Amino acid sequence: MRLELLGIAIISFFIFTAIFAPVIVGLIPHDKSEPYSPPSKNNLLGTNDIGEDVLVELIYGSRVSMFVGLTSAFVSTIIGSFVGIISGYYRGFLDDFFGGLIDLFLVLPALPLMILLAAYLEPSVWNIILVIALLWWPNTARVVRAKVLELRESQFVEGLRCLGANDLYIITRHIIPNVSDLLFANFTLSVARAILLEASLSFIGLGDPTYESWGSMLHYSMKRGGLLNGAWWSFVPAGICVSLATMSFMLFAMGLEDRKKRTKAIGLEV
Amino acid sequence: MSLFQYFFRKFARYSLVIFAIILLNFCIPRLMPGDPITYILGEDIYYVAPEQIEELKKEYGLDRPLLEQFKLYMARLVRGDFGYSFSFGRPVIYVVLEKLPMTLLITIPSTFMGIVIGAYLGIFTGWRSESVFKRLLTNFILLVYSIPSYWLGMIALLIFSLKLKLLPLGGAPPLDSDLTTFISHLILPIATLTIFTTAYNAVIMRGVTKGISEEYFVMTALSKGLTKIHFLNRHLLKPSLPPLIAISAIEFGFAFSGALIVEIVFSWPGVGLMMLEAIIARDYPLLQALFTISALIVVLANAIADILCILVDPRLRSDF
Repeated sequence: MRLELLGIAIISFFIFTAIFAPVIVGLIPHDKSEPYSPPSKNNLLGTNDIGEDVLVELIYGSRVSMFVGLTSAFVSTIIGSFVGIISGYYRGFLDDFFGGLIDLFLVLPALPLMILLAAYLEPSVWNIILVIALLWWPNTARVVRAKVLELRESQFVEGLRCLGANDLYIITRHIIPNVSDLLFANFTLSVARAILLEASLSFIGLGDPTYESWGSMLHYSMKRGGLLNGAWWSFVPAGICVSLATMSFMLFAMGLEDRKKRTKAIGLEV
Repeated sequence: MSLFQYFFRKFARYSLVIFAIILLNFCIPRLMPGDPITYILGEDIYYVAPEQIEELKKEYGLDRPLLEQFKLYMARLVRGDFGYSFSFGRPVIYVVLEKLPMTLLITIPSTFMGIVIGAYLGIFTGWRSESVFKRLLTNFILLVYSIPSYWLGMIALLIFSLKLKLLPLGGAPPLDSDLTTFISHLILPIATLTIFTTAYNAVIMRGVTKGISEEYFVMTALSKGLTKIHFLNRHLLKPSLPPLIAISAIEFGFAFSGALIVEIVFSWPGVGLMMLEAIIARDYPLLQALFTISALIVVLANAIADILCILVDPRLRSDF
């Protein structure tokens, strides 16, 4: 599908920018100028509240968004798939416990809890990753658990048991390969979510103060009068970047989903 | 299963959730690095004599075993004592309850509008989604779904307040304002929130509709030759109501969280703006109460949704 390709193209563009940020910054004009000076030849996207080039900030901001997005999605996918597989495969007490935990987390309002945790912890990129992963894994776990529940009752797993295969073998060789599509699609969606959440936390002022991210650009523009002075360049591009990055990962996930025709299974609806 | 049993089960489940929320709230400050008393006193800790700190620790029971601390904590909560906000200089519960109506004033209308518009959009796009227009609409909804709400709020302010000068720059309407001023202050926050709840709902309802449209009763209804409107309203909307209600409860929590951030953009003096001040002051008791109260609101919304589901879904009642 074409939209899926568009998603992949945008993702590659942002990842490329994130990796080669210093090189790209060297290629564009970025003199320090007056605060909130409009886009010009010297500052292609104008300057921010302390006279720094907006485009340069955007390029470096892609590093934070991509890193936080991918890492926290990775961590939450690992935790979520572990819990999902264990509780779906073994059922019993473990499932009661983890199932209850998943239900609880899905009811809890994520943002206030995230804000609370982020406020307690030192503001740093790693803590943001920790907070997002800690609150996002139940979404993955729920979906994986449902799929594993279905798999464990399937005939081929029953057949394997009859052949005397042990649990470890069944899980690693048959369950995991069968949920891997689902995991990948879910991972992609988690990246989209994590990018949005990081931006939200940074916008509230709970981001890592040592790195400029898209969210913190919005934060400073709001806090230091960029918006009120009508300096649209101080916040419009950053928001476009957040939206584009989020959307590209969602398009990619939807493409994967379309291919597998598993609309309900991967939980895109939630 | 009798109706009573059903309610009892739900009640037990929600009690457990509420207990877990309280337990979580109790554990967080004690798990974090540093002395919990610093989280209770905030910056005041530098101005309080060491002897007084010991005294305060005794008062909060921090020198006692954890189990006893928890009992004390529960006893406080039952009395509505969520602690003392040092940045506002008042008990937390008063601060939150004072700001809550302002937040609900923008959350409730936008949730309702979002549910209604989103449900119709979702059904429209989910039902036989082959046409180009529907596909474009679906992608547009997805785009809205990926935009940060506060950023859209900033753009709205830029266009409608700064450039066109049609609407106020934010803040709450003054107490003595007439109806038009009052509404003009509400428009942008509510519109921003509505757009997001609509997108969220539309995405979900699209999935639900797609699922239902493959069922046999849909085929039967169509082969009877029902008109499209009649069919959509009676045969498609009705079976998708229970999932919609269940989702609306989660939605309300989502909208509430969304409102917290959108308020910051519009300087709307509700819970969200207060939260921002609490974050800057590192006013932990206030942040904790905020989490507890928003969690309780979500649980309450879920409980109401469960009851509504019984009312609209005869399949649930027939089991009794």
